[in-house]
Amino acid sequence: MAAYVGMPSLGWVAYVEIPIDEALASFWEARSRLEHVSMLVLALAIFIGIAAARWLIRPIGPLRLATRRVAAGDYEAGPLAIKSGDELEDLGNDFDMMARSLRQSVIDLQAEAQREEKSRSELEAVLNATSEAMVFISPEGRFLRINQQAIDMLGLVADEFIGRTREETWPQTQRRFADPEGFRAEMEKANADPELHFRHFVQQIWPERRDLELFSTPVNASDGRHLGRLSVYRDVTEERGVDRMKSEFVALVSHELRTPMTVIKGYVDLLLDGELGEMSAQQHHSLSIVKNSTERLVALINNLLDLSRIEAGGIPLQLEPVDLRQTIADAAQAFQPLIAGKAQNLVVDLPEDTPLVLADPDRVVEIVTNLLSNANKYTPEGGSIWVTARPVGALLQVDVRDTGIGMTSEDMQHVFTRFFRANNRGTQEVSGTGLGLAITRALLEMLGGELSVESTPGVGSTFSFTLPITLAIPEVAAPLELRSEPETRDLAVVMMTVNPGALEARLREADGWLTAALIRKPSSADELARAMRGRGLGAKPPTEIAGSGALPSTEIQSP
Amino acid sequence: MTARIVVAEDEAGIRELLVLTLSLRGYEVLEASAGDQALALIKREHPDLVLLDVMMPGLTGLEVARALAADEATAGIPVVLLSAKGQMAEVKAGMATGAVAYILKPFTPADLAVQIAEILNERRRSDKEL
Repeated sequence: MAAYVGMPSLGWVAYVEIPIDEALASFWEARSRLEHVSMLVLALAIFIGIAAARWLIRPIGPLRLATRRVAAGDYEAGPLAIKSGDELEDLGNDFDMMARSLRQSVIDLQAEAQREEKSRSELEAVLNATSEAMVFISPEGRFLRINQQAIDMLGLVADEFIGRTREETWPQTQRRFADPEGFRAEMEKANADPELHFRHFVQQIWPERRDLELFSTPVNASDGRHLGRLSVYRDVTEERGVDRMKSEFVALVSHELRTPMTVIKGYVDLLLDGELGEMSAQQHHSLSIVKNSTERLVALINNLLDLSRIEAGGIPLQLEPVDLRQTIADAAQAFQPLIAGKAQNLVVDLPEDTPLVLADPDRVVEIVTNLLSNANKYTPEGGSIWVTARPVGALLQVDVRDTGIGMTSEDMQHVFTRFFRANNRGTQEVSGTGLGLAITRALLEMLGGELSVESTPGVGSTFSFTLPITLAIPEVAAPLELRSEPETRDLAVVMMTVNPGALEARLREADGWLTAALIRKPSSADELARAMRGRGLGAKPPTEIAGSGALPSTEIQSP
Repeated sequence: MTARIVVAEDEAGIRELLVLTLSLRGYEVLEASAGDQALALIKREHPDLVLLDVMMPGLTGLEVARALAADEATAGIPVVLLSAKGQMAEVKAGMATGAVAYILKPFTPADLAVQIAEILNERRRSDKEL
């Protein structure tokens, strides 16, 4: 290896030459030393690296295991407690926290589920323990749930019904009821109107004979969603039996009472008429008192008999459009002597456009007479009585207001109870059987109306009753026979009323009274037959249509 | 000629009342206290009018009335029924036997007597016309 350097100031060039080995010797030595050191460092680095990795990875193992266990649903693993003093320790702590809160959530969820299960089984037990049969049906008409009583009482087999529709199970339903078509009609009406609440009496014939009271009511979630319809069947066989027995008993007793009453009244009449010889004035007076009491007793017996008959549904109804203006005027006219006797002022003020009501005119006279009689009795001399009327929806409301002695609110609660008479001074002077209002109310209920009272002691009372308004159609002016008399048994009855639901239900309750009840005027015999079938009113064609003037009569033929 | 009336009533008190009421008005009254007895009496005596209680032992008043109507010999005798049962159906069933009147208990003796007198008068008039 050689090197030179020019020195221009001297004009010289310095030149040096040395052997290459000698020249590089120190370099080689340094390089060799460096190589050794590097190797050592590398070895050390690898060693340290491996150790560090091992040390770093160690806590990840348990973390992985714990993750797997948690994933497998084991929340009971203890804390990892990684003490590496770095991010891994943080990660481990976070993991421990997550596992803890997961464990808590699971415990909470399980407790919740247990509570829910408990309340569900409690609810189920309660539903199964009730004496009513319950059937829950979805808005689409599928059976969702039936309770134990429905299984026992109605003989429903859960598998046959649950999940099936009413239509699919109709053959099974049909044989259970005496009037399946009527039942179906009722259910279809409810289907069409999810908000409809209704009560209906049904006669069960299979697997046992029972009188059932059916309450049907929509079931809505708290957010208003319609969930379905709950039908509750109550066994009223016994109650109805008791009712019947009670009515029969009253009827029997009343008849038995009539015999001695006939004898007493008969002889008193003979004596007073002088047929058995002349009596002194004192004797005549004494016997007159006997006669008055006898007549009161006879009235009482008659009222009792009436009431028991009405309650047993045994009073014949002659429904027809009634003009209350006329009926009330007639009843008021008959009352004039009594009104005049107490110098009272009776004002009957029914507007000219007062709509007709569908009712039995004789019963309406009875109702009005009872209310006027009360007003007359309980209103002092010189007082006033007003009779007014106004339509309220589909009903006509008639108010009989007086300036009588009035009643306390406590009295008002009992006023329709039999034999109740308001307990105040004025009433002591008043005679009555104590059955008038009970009869009035029973009559109104039979006619699809209601009786109510408002009163203030010392100021007066207002008795109000309602009757269903009927459309004034001249063709149906003829009385509509609603009796099961042999000659009218197959008579179809056309009722034209704007409040058909209540009346129809009531008439249906009076089982066997009538063959048919129609709500709207049918335009043809076909429509009539369809409507009759739809209401489960038998397949028999009507032999005669009351008030059928508007019908093509040739299409309605007697069988 | 005094009209003869058969009174059939099982209750002694009412029977006596009827007999008294009618005798006071000059009628000749024949008594029976049971349905079958009444039927035999009527067939034997052929009275001008029969007053029948509906609820009687033996035969009911309705059965007696039907038996009378079915027999040509007695079909012409007017029958008046007397009953404590006043329901429309009961009255209709009573009148369906061919009875001419249905009197409800309790009755006023004077009214009953007037009814009977009217029935007898009418019968007498129609007999004369024949």
